[in-house]
Amino acid sequence: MKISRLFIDTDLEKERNRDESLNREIDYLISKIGRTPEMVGDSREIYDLINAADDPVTVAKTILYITRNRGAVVRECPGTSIYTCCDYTILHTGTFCTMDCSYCILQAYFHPPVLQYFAGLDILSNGLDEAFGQEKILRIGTGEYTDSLIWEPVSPMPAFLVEKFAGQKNAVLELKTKTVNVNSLMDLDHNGKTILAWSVNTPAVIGSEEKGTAALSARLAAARDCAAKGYKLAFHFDPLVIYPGCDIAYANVIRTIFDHVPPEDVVWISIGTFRFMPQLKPIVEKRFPDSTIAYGEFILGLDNKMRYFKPLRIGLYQKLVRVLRQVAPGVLVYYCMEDQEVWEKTMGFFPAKDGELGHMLDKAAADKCGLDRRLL
Amino acid sequence: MQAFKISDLPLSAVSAADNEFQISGVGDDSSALAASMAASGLCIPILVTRQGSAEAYTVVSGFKRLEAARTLGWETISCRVAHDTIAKSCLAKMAVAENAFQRQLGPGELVRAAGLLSKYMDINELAGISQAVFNTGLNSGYLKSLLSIHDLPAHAVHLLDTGQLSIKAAKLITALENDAVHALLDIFSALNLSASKQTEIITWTKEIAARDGVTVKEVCMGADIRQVLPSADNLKDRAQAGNRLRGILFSKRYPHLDAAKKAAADSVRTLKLPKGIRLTLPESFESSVYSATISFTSVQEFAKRAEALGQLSGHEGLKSLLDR
Repeated sequence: MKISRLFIDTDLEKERNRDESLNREIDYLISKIGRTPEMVGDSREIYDLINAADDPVTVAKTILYITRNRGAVVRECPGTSIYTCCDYTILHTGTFCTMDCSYCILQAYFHPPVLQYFAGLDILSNGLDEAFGQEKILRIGTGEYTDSLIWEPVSPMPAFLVEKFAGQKNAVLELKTKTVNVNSLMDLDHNGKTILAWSVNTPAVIGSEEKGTAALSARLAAARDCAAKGYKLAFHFDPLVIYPGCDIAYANVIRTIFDHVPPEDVVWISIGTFRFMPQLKPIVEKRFPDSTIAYGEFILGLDNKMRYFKPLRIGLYQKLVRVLRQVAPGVLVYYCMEDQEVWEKTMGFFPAKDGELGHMLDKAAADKCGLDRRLL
Repeated sequence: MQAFKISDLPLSAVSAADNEFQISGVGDDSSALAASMAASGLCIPILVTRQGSAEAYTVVSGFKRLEAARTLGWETISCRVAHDTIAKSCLAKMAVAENAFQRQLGPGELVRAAGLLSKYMDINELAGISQAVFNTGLNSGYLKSLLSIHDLPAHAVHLLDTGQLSIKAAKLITALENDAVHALLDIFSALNLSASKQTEIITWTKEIAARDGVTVKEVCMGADIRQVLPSADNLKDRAQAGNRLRGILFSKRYPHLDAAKKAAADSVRTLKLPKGIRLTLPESFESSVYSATISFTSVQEFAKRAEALGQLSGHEGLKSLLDR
């Protein structure tokens, strides 16, 4: 997806004149994006522009707004108490995405969605220094409200973050992506503190539902290259889409992953079936009329999101966990947002205590990424 | 200059054949109106316009009154004859307003009214005058929906009149292909479902078709579905047939959930729950929490039912229910 218009917050434009680092970052972005920036004093002008379109979501993917993050830079992931959460920490670097996955919740999450890039490496740095000062292990990711690496070809931010994390021992950075944008990271001294993570799916789902993303083979080739450079890796099977033959197709994806990378380099693998806010369904139907992803056997979950009927989830999980344990027995596998029954019937145990899943993940991060184990 | 002239015209000179201005449902029963006119006469003269220069007239408003007058065998009817200079667009507004300010327009009437007025003005203009003409404000989005329904086969508007199709369901149908529209209208003709059930049926058929790579028509024409539809004149079985149809579609749309629900119902049946004890299953089996409720009116009844409830713990049916 190409950027058709580039807007810059006028406040940010004024700050650039006083802040050399910010100036360099924005100049770099503008030169790489190749669009003449338009100054905008009030973000509502951009919201109005997007809302006026027949398909605001598609239009929003082509309009980039470079601004400051005016909220918390480091924040806790909004899990729920009903389904077990992994206690993740979010580094808020931007919103929305240029790729176009039919199932993307960001289409319904923001009103309207706006492609924002939060400039200001100093702000990120300050927020992270505060986090690094805490006496606990943190798993920090930028992939909650956007893809972690969509701006890598035009922004110094990913490289900055990798180097920032390299200098401390209580946090890992997880960069989660469906791209292969890793060039600027390859020769960095990452000190093992960055996990490069790929969302993966079957070639069929990638082909039909993940418009504009890299092919599975390309993602895995990039993962292999990163592993060769000493990066630790993670894979996220999320969303798993249930369709005839999907169990075999996902098992093949698992085997293909470990044809590319050794299990020792993989810190964790998460799995989660497709779930969505009910508001997403009409958006998918309108924007992706050929997609049948919303027509699975969904029920309303306890968190008011649509989920596959539980026995279907359990059936697929059981098969995939079996393959994962066979192919990569030492790799930590966990569920994002599942309950006790699912854990017990598929994994044989349940991280029942408050924070127990988070602790398991912290331990994996400490073991594989060289974090300070005394903080566990 | 007066807009109308009041005249008693021979019924033979007033034609309802041209029903361009008709808002009320075609074929509605006018016997009650005829009875009222027989008892009290015609309270409000019908509105007509002259066809060219001849002494022949077309009805603008009053189709039912004219029909009732014919039924009663009247020879003449009191008319407001619109002046020849009144434009058709004004007559259209009058036709709608005269109905809308007497009663709330039904869904079919709304659709016909929007369709009539759209011949003479665009949607935004129509939205602008809606309060004055429809007796209620209608925004352009809603009017657009009404017009898309107006483009459906005439049969759809008839089903709106009879209450067998809701505006919401009709709107959903407008997004479908012609074959699918006809197939669904056939189904709704044979049933009498609430608006939410109509919506459910359209949604499920559409989703089953998309998921299975077949057409909506093919889903609707399935032998199992055709089998449950009663003949058009069998009004008695409509409610039951509607439930059976929904059951079939639900089992196609949610086969695993449906099977689980049926299996759970079988297990519950084996428990032979005594009076006053109710078992509630988790919604869609997402939660693992089941609940049992006992109702009682005395200490003795409480003790008796609590004991019966306790005895269920050893029942195989309960075990199979919980070991799902």
